[in-house]
Amino acid sequence: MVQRLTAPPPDDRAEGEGRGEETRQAGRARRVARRLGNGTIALVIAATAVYAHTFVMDQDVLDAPLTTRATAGAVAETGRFGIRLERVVATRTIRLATPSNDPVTGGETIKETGHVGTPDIFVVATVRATSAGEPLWLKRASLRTRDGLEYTNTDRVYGIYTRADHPIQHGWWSEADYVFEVPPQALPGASVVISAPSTNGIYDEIYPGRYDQLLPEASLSLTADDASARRLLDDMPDSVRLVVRL
Amino acid sequence: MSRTRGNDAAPDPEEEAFDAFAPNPRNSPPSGGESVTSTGSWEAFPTTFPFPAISQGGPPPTALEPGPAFAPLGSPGAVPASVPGFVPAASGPPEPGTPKGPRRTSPGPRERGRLVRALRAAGLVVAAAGLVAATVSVQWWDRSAWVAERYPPQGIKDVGHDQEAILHGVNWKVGVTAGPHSPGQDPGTASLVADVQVTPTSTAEIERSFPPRFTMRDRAGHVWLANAEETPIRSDLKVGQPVRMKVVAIVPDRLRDTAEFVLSYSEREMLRFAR
Repeated sequence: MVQRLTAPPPDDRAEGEGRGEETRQAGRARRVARRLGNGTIALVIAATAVYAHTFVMDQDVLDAPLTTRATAGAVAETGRFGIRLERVVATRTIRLATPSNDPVTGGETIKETGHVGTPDIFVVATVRATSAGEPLWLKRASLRTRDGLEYTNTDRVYGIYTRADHPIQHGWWSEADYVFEVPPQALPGASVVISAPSTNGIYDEIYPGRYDQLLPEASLSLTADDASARRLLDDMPDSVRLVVRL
Repeated sequence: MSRTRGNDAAPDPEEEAFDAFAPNPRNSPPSGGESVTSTGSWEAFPTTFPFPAISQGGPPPTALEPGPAFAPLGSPGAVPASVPGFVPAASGPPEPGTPKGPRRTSPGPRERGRLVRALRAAGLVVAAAGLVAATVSVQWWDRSAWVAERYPPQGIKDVGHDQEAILHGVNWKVGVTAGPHSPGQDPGTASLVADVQVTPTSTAEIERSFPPRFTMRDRAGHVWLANAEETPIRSDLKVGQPVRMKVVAIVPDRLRDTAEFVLSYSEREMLRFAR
């Protein structure tokens, strides 16, 4: 026998319909909340991405070279060249000399051809350097003080006396002198900074500094500490002789 | 006049008014047999279902009497098991001894929703990874193209021992020997002297590009300077007339016998002479 399905009484039906309406409203609210949450997350990600683009290096940082630091006597290996500080001398006068062969005795004689003086001091830094691959000319050198001041190597002493204009090549260490003319108070905490030359050719002349990014440089501490710097000034000789070396 | 004319037409006063709900004598049941659902006005589908006749003033038919209280679906006992074809929805673990119903072959709405969410999440992860990979790839390609354009690969042509080669209008032949130790030479180094024979084959090219750059190299990529001590001037170069040059280089002592002479007009135009 088939038993009939009958409709609920009117009160129960109204209660069921009310409960269904509440369920539908709750589902709609959940959907709206979910969409709002997703939209908020998308906005936050987009804003973060836009904000991340503000984390860029300024021009000074972009143009800054890659510096390798080394203490006095230690080798600074930059990848393109290696260099170490052999010795440092401070003086007020530099005597320039030229070697010659005595035709009578056959021996070598050294004749002083001039001298250079300064009201400050000359700092003569002797380094040894080698190249990792190709020949390099390490002509650019400076003495950087503790507070960031830079003194470039002097042009009052020619390269034939210092060999700073000679190339360094792979396989052996070449010696060169860098001469700086600085005030005595610049020595404590100072370092000698030698930079690799740029390979941009004519572009460096047209746009100076524009393409000199990521150039390697070695920063060699001039003295171990301030006491060593004071001793360097206290034991300063009257003059230092530089001889022509080919 | 037709009954199908427009509503705006006025009715004919002589015509009998049409009443769709008036009883149709052709479809009227016999006396006392009036159907409860039929108005008797639809002659095309005469009712044949045996509805009980309602007599005037009599008791209502049993089918219209109120039944038992409504029970929602899913509650036990809402629908008797005697209804043919009805399978009650599972509302809990089956009681012991209860025969199992037919197995469902398609996932329910909840499982389907879970599957859709999982697929959507997987798609988002794949899309994000793809976008990151595409972004990195584009930048990688751009920088690679820039580097390749700025630093083109070297183009070195090897020349056998005691062999000749033509480059930029000159027939080149090179022989390398060890040279004497010069004064001031760094310790641990050796001097090499290259005897370079230059035979012009084209005056025009010599005017444009002579002399090239000379170096000594090893196969590990190290380069040493080689300086020409006796370089002929261009006006002395005649087609077919050989001229000799002396090129000196300093190399590490261990490479005295293996360093090779290389002349180059550019990174893509090089001749390397085997020892």
